Amino acid sequence: MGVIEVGRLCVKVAGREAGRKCVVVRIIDKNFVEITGPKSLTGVRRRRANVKHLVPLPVKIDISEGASDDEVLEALKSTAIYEELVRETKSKGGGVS
Amino acid sequence: MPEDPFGPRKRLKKRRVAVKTPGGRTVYHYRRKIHGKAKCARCGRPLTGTRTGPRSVMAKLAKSEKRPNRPYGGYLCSKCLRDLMIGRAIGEGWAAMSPAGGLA
Repeated sequence: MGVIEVGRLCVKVAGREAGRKCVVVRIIDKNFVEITGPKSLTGVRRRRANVKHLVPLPVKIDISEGASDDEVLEALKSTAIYEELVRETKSKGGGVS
Repeated sequence: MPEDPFGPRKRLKKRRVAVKTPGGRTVYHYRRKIHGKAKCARCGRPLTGTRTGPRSVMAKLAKSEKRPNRPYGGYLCSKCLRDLMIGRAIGEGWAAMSPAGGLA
């Protein structure tokens, strides 16, 4: 699987959420993973996604497999990238906070 | 004779159709131009998921019926959008290893 792993921060490059960042929460098979923004932060809702639609970033957060949106949000808050995510989301008008 | 509201630029605004009159003459009738299909701003291919038509028709359609509901929808094709987004992710100094392709 390489760099796509649980806790990896990615950018979606296809579809309505293209350009938004998300976190991998579960590996489904070699083609699909479950991701979440979480929606309240970046506007990416919890969904299954093809790994071809994701570009991994060099940031990994510490979450367990199948972590809930709240757990992911808490884990993100302790990282340096959180402020950047908040800023980007505001500029894109996404996220439901 | 009343003045033509389109003036000397009529030919640019309307398309011309040759019509045979009952008297045997051939005259030109000016009709509305047909709108062209939307094209990708980067590669020039026709965009999918877009509609064309006179304004009277387009105005009645919902926004989601006129263009794909994604960033740059109705402006870039899906492939060019993907290239752009991958380029941006790398441009920010992020990892170049990507299963999304477009880098190899």
